[in-house]
Amino acid sequence: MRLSVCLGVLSAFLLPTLASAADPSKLSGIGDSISQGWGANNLPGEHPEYGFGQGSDATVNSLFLRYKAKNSAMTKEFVSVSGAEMVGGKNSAPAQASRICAMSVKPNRVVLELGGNDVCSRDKGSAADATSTLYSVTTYRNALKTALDTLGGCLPAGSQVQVLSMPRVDYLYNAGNAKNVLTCNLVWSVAGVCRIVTGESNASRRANIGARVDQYNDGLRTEVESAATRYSGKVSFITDWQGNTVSNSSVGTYRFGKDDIDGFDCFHPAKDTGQRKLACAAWEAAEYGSLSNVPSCLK
Amino acid sequence: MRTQLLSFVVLALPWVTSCTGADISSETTVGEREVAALAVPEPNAKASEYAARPVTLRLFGTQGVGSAAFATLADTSNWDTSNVRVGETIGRSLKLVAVSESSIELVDSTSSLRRTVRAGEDIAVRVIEHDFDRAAIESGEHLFHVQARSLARVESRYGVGAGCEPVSFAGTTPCKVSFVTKHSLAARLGLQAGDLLVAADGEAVTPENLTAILRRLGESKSQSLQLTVARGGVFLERMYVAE
Repeated sequence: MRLSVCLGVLSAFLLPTLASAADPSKLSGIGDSISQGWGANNLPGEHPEYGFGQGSDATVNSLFLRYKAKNSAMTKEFVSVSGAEMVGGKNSAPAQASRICAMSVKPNRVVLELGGNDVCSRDKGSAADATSTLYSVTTYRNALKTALDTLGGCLPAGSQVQVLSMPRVDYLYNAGNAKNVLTCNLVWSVAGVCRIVTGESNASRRANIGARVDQYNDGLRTEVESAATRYSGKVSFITDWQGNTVSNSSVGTYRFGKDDIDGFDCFHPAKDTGQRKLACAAWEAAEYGSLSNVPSCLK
Repeated sequence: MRTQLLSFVVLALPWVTSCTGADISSETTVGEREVAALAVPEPNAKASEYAARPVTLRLFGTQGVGSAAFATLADTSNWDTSNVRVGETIGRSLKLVAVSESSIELVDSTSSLRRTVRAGEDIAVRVIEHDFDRAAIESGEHLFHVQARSLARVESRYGVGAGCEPVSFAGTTPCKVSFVTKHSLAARLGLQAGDLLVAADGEAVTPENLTAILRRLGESKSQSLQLTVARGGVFLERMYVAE
């Protein structure tokens, strides 16, 4: 009796604290040009107001706006950088995670969207293997693991990190061709947009690159699950990736259509379609949604 | 057996120090004998032009086969990540001599110490760099810190090392970088062949003014330079700040 009274008094103090820590109060984002809303309004440059994660545009209805509808005091601070990779360079996932850890007010919700540049910034593969220049799955996983450990070590208790699967670049290529074969191919050539697929005339080689993206996403899920175990009780780690067997069940399996991408470089999600769908999918794959609703977002 | 044990201790010591987070050395100067043993010395450079720093590297992994094989290593202090091929060096002394599916071998040319690193592991090393290697350092988010005097010396020795040709792109006429010479000023500033140079401090970049624009930082005529570069279809606002 005495023990239960003590526990009851203790929980009266503890529970509100735990609930408070778990409630979304600040959203941060790790990502690349997709997170920065690059070209989302068919104009060159970053347009973060149309980004699926941090956007302020009502049509996109970003992850941030959806959280803000739940908590009007919700804030955001994104560290996403156009051109960033999961693995390489100065703005990799671990580097961006470190910048989040350096924030004076740390977030308790983080969305991570990276991977496109890990493929698109590589040179064309060998004649025998279209994927020979790509990072190995081990390399990709170790970079993500480092980022997740960085976040797991610094975020407050009750935080949630959502790792979105990366879109297949061969599907983006198909969307561009469906949009306007001549215009898009001209822009891709002059600007050097993802030449590993846009400069590849062999469909099976492009599919091989897409298959490597699937493997990255499989590895991504494994690392997310491992991090969830390592930081169980402190930080939760989730992802939308459920495997590649069902189309449109995740961002990584979504077959982008011609209307989903911008009319400038034909390779980035447009605000009213692609970005809006990503926002919906990310929301449904997180705490207030349901993974089973993701396909309806990606129609 | 005894030799094997001694080898283990010698090779394991840096791993132990890396686990504790301690630097293996606080030494910053480089001696003449080390300079003589560098794998990639800067021609005619004095020892005073080099500096050594302790670095912990993490091997994320390896990929490719044969001559196309490369290792991906990250500096754990800032997660700056580099792809290194067999025969290439990290700094001037640490040479990648072998890449396998799950590990690499590094040799420090100044000590002849050979180290094996497996994917996912950290290794504490001493990296020797020349002034030129630190003439322009990107700190992330497309911000470069440049040393004007070092850049001027780079330009004096290796030239500007880049050319560009105007192309039509989305209603604009950026200058597409046609070549970048190894070790040159342009290379130190991070330019790559294929980059579209859209503007420099708001001024259009042309084949005629490219050299003058890139020289500005080295000539201390500008404390900063904002270069709009399109790479891979994405416009990047690069800021170079002279220190």
